[in-house]
Amino acid sequence: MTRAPASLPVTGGVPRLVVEGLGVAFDTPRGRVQVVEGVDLSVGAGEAVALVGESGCGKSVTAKALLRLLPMPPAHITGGRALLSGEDLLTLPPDALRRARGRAVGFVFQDPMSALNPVYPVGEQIAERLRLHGGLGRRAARERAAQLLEQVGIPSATERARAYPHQLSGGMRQRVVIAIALACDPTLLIADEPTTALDVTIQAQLMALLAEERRARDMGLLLITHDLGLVAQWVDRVVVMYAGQVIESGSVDSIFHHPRHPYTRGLLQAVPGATPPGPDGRLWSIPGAVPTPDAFPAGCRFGPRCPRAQDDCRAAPVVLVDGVRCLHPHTRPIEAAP
Amino acid sequence: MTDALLEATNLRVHFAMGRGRVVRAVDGVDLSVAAGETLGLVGESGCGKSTLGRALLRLEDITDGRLEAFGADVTRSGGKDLRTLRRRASMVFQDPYASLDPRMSVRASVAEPLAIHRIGDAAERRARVDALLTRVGLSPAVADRRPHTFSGGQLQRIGIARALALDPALVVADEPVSALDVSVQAGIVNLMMDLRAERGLAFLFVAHDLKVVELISDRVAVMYLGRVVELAPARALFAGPRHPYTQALLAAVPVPDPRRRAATAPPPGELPSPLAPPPGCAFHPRCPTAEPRCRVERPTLVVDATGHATACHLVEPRSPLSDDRVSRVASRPTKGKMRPA
Repeated sequence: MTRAPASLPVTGGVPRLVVEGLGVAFDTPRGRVQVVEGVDLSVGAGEAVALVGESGCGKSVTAKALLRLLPMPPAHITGGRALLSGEDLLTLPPDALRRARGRAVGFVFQDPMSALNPVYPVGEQIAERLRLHGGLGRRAARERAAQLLEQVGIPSATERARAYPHQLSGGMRQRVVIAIALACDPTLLIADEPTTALDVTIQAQLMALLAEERRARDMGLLLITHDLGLVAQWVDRVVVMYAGQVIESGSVDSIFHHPRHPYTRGLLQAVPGATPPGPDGRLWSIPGAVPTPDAFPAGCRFGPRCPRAQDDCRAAPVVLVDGVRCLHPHTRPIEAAP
Repeated sequence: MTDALLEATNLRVHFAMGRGRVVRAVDGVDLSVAAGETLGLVGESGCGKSTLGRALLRLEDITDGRLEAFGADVTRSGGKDLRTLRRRASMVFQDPYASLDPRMSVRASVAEPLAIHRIGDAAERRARVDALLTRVGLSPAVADRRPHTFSGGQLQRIGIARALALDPALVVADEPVSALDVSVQAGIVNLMMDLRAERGLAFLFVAHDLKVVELISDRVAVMYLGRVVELAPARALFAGPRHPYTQALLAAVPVPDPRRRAATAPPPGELPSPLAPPPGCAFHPRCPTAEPRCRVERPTLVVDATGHATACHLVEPRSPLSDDRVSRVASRPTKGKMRPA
């Protein structure tokens, strides 16, 4: 039966997505490397959840593995389940998987150009989704495509529907991708760094659009990002990854104001403007670098960079307890910015 | 202006795009950088900030206007004056992978400026590279490795070491931390602040991350479609932005605090094509307060008594506080066109 992991209360009502114990490994010339391990997360209806971490932490691999978008091999799912409205995406037969991807889940990736076909007008690309997965006829699909373009904020939508991707700006292209993702009324939208390539004013417009559509449709949103500003502004819950594992999860307020894992706290302190700067107006930084998957430490994976690490941290892998993977978590809230 | 290292007057950099089309990437900018100061240059992609940063080192040809550097007019000159500019000013690039030659050892890359300017013998260069690497937080033992064996943060430290090789007075840093993860970015920003304090280095810090610019800059210039629309001391600009574009830009930056969520909607529309900039004030199609004159008359940058310059018809220059204040401000390197009172 479906069970939401205890550490991740679903605040949004019916769970849209429940991921339990997801593991992903890659074959490399030096053998098989476990890149993502034991990831639990859930997204409720109408809820926005962020999966955050720095490059190489496994957040994008996690998102792609859910939809089985990783090339297999070299990728392998080594364990876990990803239940979308009760169906396990990881074991669905190919045609059911295609239906789920086309209808139940929408996705938006960082680079809109790679999601669009350069040789078809954008309106046709939306209409194609509607014909294949929404059961609409040619004419109805074309009309609905124009409506969707208008809904995602593209001015003179009927004319723009005839434009090719290269004739649109980066922000407009990403709006088209969002229109395609929303075309068949998905229950879950997965957005992987959707605004990273865009300017802040365009980023703010698109995040506002995603929030509005999520509420109007009671859709779940899984936002994969490294931008803690976006997380603070736009999501309800946060799952923090480090070196292929979830190291902390909780409500957005608890993560930003009462982070318990030393990595979460270090990450927040490194963001200019998030916390009072250190001595002499300097930023806090985390010493060292994220380990590569073939060199994850045996004990706590953050241990070698952690100011609180003790002998027991190095002894054995640390498990996630009560939303935090740490033997010596912080117990006090973070100091508020002035 | 004796204490200005660089001074651009009505600087223009235009690119011919064929069929008579011209991109006015930089279109009439007055800007100066004083010794020891950090000038932040911000704006959205396509606003011309990188082109301006490169033009100030003469890495782009200047179409019109004047560039003075280290006491000489270098608008078009080559030879000795240009060599002086290239020795006294250096650049740190956005992409640390692309800015170092993958086939050269780190030692050769960092020493290259010394070789080009024929400074020191082999032993002296060796010692200098070791000292530079140590200063940016790397062990001299890594000097014989190639770039691909380093992380992004380490490579950016190497890029900084290379930029410091000739002991410059000014470093132009074009998005030096935007390709880096936040925990690594903090270390690089700290390093740059330390170097500035130690060596009296001036920085032109070109970036789209306003939070980093706020932290590091003494003064900040905001660009929109090839022009500076606001230029002010950093504290004043972030505490009280006056140009409607600056206000919109600051409001769009997501605050990393869920208890302070944005109440205002972002400005509508996008940056217009630089091939066809709107007439009058280039921001008027997106401006919430635009008036009829904004559509026809291009505002000039007007500086007030506090050194806060704004190019907007609807922003009244603040009245001077006293004559003493005015003269002190007037001697600052801050330069906009002073409109007769």
